[in-house]
Amino acid sequence: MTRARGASGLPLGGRKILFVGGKGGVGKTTVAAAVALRFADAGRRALVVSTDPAHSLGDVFQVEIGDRRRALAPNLEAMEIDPDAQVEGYLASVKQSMRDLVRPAMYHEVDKQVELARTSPGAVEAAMLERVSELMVDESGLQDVIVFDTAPTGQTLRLLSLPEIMAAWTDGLLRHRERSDEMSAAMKRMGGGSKRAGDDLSHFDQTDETEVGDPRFARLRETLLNRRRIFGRARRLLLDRDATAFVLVLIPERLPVLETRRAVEALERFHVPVVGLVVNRVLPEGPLGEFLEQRRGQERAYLEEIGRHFRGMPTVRVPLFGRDVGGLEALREVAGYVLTDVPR
Amino acid sequence: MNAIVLLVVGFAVFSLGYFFYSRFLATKVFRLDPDFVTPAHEQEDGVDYVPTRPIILWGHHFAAVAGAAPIVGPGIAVVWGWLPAFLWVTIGTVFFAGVHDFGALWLSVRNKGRSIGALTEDIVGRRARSIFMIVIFLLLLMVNAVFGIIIAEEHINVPGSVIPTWCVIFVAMAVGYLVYKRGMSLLWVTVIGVTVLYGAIWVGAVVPLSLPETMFGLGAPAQWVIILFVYAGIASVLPVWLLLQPRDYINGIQLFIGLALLYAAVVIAAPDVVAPALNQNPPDNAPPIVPLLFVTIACGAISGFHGLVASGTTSKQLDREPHARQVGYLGSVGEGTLALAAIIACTAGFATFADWDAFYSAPFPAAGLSAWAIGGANIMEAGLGLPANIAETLLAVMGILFAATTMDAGVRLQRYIIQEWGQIYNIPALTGRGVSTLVAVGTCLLLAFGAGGGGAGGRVIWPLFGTSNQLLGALTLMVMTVFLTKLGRATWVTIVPLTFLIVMTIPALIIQLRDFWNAGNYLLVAMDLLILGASILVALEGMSAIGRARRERAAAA
Amino acid sequence: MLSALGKLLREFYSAPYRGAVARAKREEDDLFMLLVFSEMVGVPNPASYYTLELQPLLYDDFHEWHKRMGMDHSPLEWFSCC
Repeated sequence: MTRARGASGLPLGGRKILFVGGKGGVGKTTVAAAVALRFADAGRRALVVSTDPAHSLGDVFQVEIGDRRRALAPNLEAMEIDPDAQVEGYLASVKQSMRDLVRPAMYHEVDKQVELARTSPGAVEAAMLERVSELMVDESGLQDVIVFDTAPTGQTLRLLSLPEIMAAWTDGLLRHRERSDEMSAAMKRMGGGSKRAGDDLSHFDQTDETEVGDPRFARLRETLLNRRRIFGRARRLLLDRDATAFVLVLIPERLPVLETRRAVEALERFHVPVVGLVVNRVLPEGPLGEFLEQRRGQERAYLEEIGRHFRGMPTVRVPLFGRDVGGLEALREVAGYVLTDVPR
Repeated sequence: MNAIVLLVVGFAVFSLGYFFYSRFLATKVFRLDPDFVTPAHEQEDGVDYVPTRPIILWGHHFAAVAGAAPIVGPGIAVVWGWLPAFLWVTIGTVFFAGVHDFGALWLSVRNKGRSIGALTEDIVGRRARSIFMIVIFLLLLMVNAVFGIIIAEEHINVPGSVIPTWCVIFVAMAVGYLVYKRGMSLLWVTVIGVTVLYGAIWVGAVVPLSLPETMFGLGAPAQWVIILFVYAGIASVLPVWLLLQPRDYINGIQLFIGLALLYAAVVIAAPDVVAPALNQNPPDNAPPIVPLLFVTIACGAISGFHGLVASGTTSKQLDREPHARQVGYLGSVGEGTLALAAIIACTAGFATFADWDAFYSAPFPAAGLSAWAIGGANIMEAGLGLPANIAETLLAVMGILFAATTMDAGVRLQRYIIQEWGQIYNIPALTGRGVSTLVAVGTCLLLAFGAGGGGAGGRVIWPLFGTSNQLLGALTLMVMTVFLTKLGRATWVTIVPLTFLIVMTIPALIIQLRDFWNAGNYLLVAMDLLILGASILVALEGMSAIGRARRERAAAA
Repeated sequence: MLSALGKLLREFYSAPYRGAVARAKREEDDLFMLLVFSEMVGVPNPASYYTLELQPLLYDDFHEWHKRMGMDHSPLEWFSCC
């Protein structure tokens, strides 16, 4: 197998955000790690993030990686998002706000109720979305490129569709709040009269003071606006072909090929740009013995199929190595098959 | 005889009525209790139930009920001479309208601010409530149709009124926008708005506008009627703060200004009443004075419409029960003064008897609003030096604006009722805003055209409108009677007006029926029959309900 | 004096329609509350995770809201507004 050269590397361009996806077990974590490392070696600050609950990023790098950024090499940081920690933090703050409003005797009840949210469907995904969005938007400019190792495709797709839903949802709530605030202001301007002679504080003005100037409503707006900002920007980035790219990893076997086709269709429906395929674990050149030659024959058929179905899509092949890929050197070798020049 | 006599006597009667009769009602019949917790406090929610200063409530009640009817009614009724109209307005206001408005307000306040319609069901029964719904719908239909016709006609008679009337719409929207969206000071906006309005009146007097004689085969009156209803339909779906609210506000302001100007002019000019006390020579087609007088003048003597207003919003905003006397009774007194002003304008505003007779020899019903405008203008010119054509435009615009705001409210109410029917009888199509508005406007248009091709002939339904109005008043009085019976209070205060109304309304309907039949106007025959049927139902239901209440009371005692 | 007149006019302007505007505002607010507390009335909400943090901010209005929605007692066990 020839190393990737010139135009046969993946055209990742100067993108800031890369998603590496694929069926479980095809080696996407490896590819993600390799790509991030390559960027780092070329001088760009890279962050590789695992969103797969079955985290294997640490295994690939052969180090412990946790929920916080960890430097693994010059310019390279890694992180395994722990959505449960995210959920825990969120629920803790909600519990606190609720506790502020009820009697101590009720604290237990409050906690019980809030705990229910922990296990509700979508809680983990929502927390994951929040984290991913924050990282993508990267308001503090902590990295030049971020590579996401994503979960098996189904979850990823849901994750990708959430920003739009969330943005729409926050928009809706904000709209209602705005209309309500506008009417409050108008009512206050129109003013009321005193209900009794000599009573200057009209009932009306009183109500308005607690509404318009109320810190609670300012906080409501602020909370909603913050979320809106993050979701909105995340969504925009996702749809921006110059900013974001999706790379799919597969192996030349029946099920992965089928799944990859479905994934590409789905991603295109979401308008997420898929810029390349990485075919992993291709049998290396050279004589391999009768059993493996048989498999090579089958493999060739699949490779042809891949070429046919994904005509026009840049594809690279990574060979099957003699040993498990792990550690920086092995990853560099993999990277050589995936990327050629790394743009600045 | 001088108009000042009418003015003084009229006001004297009103004052006596307020100071003595309303006090009697307040203390002996309704027994107003200053400590009673009114719905405005009990259900206070800052939305509908908000305690409000009585002067504001009075101002609004007055402005809401002072429509075009207290002007047009007397304007038509003086054809029988000034005395009958004068007596009916003064005595009616004191003993009928005052009781009705005061009582309706009190009744609603005592019953958690519920509307008369709901109370009819609570106090009398479901059948009465159904009758009530029918009567209201008929009344709204008539009000909208007849006012549309009157406005159309006045635009033609006083072409100067066209510009100011339609100008008001834009002034109102500007006021609404500036106050609601921009929060400008209302005082300045008012001053500017009123100035623009009166400026427009001046412009209008100088630049009269008319629609083409015929267009698409429709006469000018018909064209106006259509334009008006299209406007009413649109106005009823715009947000209230944009058009309806500022329109009502401007309406109220120019009511006070106009009335003040006219009365000032009367006092200064002291014109003579040239009309006869009793007209020996009414036009050939004029119906007998009894019973028709009492349905020609409704508002200004008694009008069921006011009960809707009183129990609609006013009762939910009454701060303390004793205020009901000021707001309710004095509100109808206010309206009485407007009717009185109309009588004076239409009897003393003509230079000579010959002039007056020339005008009122026209077939019944005469153009009441025009008489008001012309007569009033003459008096204003004599008293204030205001040029007659400007004064005429001013008064015409005043009458038109009153009619128009009533139409706005009327179309809106009709739309709500249609939507409610759509809900109750499960006809989803009717609940939509567009469809219900179309139905409302459509039925009114139908009636307006059916009344007489949307022209001068249209005015012929005025007495019919009066009958439906009186019918609603009778219904309200009936509910009050039953309630008072259950409380063991004196009921003659309501039974006498109630009986009087029924006794006058039913024959009036029969006479009109004959006239419509002879004229071949079968649409109006049908309407008449509907109202006649409803009247008989009201009479029967009233007798049965009151009788029942009496028996229960006697059994409990 | 002028300010008293201004106040009178303002009240005259707003009194009849104050209710309409206030009612419209209340409807907006009710809808907002419904969106935030939707799980409570049995309406599944994709954003229920995020509405959770908005709930405490609305507790003050909760009592009147649930009465208007036709629930006689508070559906929140721990928040006994009534």
